[in-house]
Amino acid sequence: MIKIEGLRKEYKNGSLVALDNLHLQIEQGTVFGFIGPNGAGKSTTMLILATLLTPTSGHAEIGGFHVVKQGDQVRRLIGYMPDFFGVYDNLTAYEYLEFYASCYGVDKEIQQRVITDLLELVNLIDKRQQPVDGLSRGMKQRLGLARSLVHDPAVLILDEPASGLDPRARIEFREVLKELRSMGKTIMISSHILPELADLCDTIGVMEHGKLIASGPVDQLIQKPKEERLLELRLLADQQIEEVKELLQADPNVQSVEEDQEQLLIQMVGNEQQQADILMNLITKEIKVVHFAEVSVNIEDVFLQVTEQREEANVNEHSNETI
Amino acid sequence: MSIRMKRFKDWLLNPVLVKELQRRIQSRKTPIILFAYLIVLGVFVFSFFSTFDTQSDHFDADNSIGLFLFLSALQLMTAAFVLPGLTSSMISGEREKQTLYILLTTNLDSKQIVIGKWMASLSFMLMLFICSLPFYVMVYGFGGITTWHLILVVFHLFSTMLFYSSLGIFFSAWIKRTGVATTISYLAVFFHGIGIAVVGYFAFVVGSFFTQNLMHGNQIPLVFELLMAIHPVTSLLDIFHFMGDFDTKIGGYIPFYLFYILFYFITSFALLIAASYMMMPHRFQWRRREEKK
Repeated sequence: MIKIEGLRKEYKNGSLVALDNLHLQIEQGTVFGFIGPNGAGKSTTMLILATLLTPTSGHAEIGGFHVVKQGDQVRRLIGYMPDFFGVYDNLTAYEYLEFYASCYGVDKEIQQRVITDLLELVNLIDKRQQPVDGLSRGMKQRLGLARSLVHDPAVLILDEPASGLDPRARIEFREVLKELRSMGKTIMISSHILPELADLCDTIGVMEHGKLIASGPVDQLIQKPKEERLLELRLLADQQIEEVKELLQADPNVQSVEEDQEQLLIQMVGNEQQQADILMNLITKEIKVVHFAEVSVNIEDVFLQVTEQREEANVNEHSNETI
Repeated sequence: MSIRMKRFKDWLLNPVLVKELQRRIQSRKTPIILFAYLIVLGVFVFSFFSTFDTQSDHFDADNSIGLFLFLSALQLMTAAFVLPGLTSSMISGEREKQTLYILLTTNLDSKQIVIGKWMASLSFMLMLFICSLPFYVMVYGFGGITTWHLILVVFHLFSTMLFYSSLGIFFSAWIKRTGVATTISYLAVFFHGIGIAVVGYFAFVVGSFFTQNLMHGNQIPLVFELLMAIHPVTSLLDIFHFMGDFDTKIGGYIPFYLFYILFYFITSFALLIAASYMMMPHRFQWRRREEKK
């Protein structure tokens, strides 16, 4: 549905590179999460896809339409929600959506039904006659999402849609997005709140300094570092922790053992079999284990790991160049 | 109505125009501005009437022309004060409110947005003008003014209004900040009213230095003629042949007022095209073209 090839965007006559040789493909009906620090190039990519920015070079298309040459067709396909957007203070929530429905050329006869449906979807039906500027930030964000859906686009481009929302508003917003996913919309979403993306996205892309440094299905990316496992171990109070530590360190798969408050953190290399062997070893030595579990790897860990690896690679490259 | 006409109508009467008109009409300021404007105009006109010699058995047509000119000059000044203020925030305001990006991702193209905003502000000024028409009709009733004069004055005023509103929209699209766009719009209008006159005066003085008998015949430099023709007051005076011994034809052919009307119609059109171009996300970039070469 979305195809990007060698996309590059320069500012200030090339002295600032916002995007560097970006390649990306997003399949129809999937939810793609964009992760990356500020200035990584996420918003720039989204602006280009929303036909609001011209790339310096490269190619981007949505639904087979070129984002620069066939902007009109692309705009019909997409619903774009920027990270910050204003509202017209003199309009009610209903009038706001009505205005954009007209801008998108939605038929007058179906506008009322579409707007009512959208207000119900984003749970703002009871606020339909309220002035837009009187709505809370969370409500405005949901109204903005409804606005981007008013012409029933196949693709949603959401730039930091949950920024500045309180936890409750964030949960409500996520629920709406899940519903949209179930409707089969292709969604491209960026966020700083990484766990927020984990259970929403099918695929994620990690961006840094204008480059896509990792991308793929969420499960695969989380699985990647699983050869290294972090285990939590809690023992009954009367156990000799020092003895257990020695026992664990004797295991060839264990890399390190550290005390963390009332538990031990075991860093190991291996699969589930080796993990089970460690537990078996403890039990056969009659050590009373209360809790033994793997610390689950989440999307934040993936992000940190990927960016750390890259940083290390850069440092090595730099030191080699110096030598 | 043919399909093409219907498409053009839909293109022209776009949601931006409808929204802006609604906002303007629903605003509490609108009736107040209208009321104040008509009161000021009425006070001036009736004060002028009171100076007429009511005892005389005949009416001096020059009085009527004077009042008509005065009314027209007042309308020009109103346009100069109102239109830059109305239009210079139209696009930059959208940008500052962060609504422009969203608008640009809809089916509306930048030309429609510009035309919608421009027509909305122009219609407000037209409303002021239409509401003041009874005063014109009263003055017209006194005689001394032909229907042709009336038509020319309306066209002259209309072209000025088009120009001032297009100027405001252009600066609003070009300059990101509303405050700066408004200041530059007013400076440009000030130059149009005062600056051209000052430059024209110097051109006249310099011309007089080199040419004898400048006030008679066709010896006026073309630059000076053009400056006179594009000035709102001199071209307005020319409609009533109030320019004394000057030859008020560009190159001896085109009357000042006709040149003025045509010039500002074309300039306004060019400014609107430029404004919509400024708003386009994918603009032509010289640097990239050079790199490709």
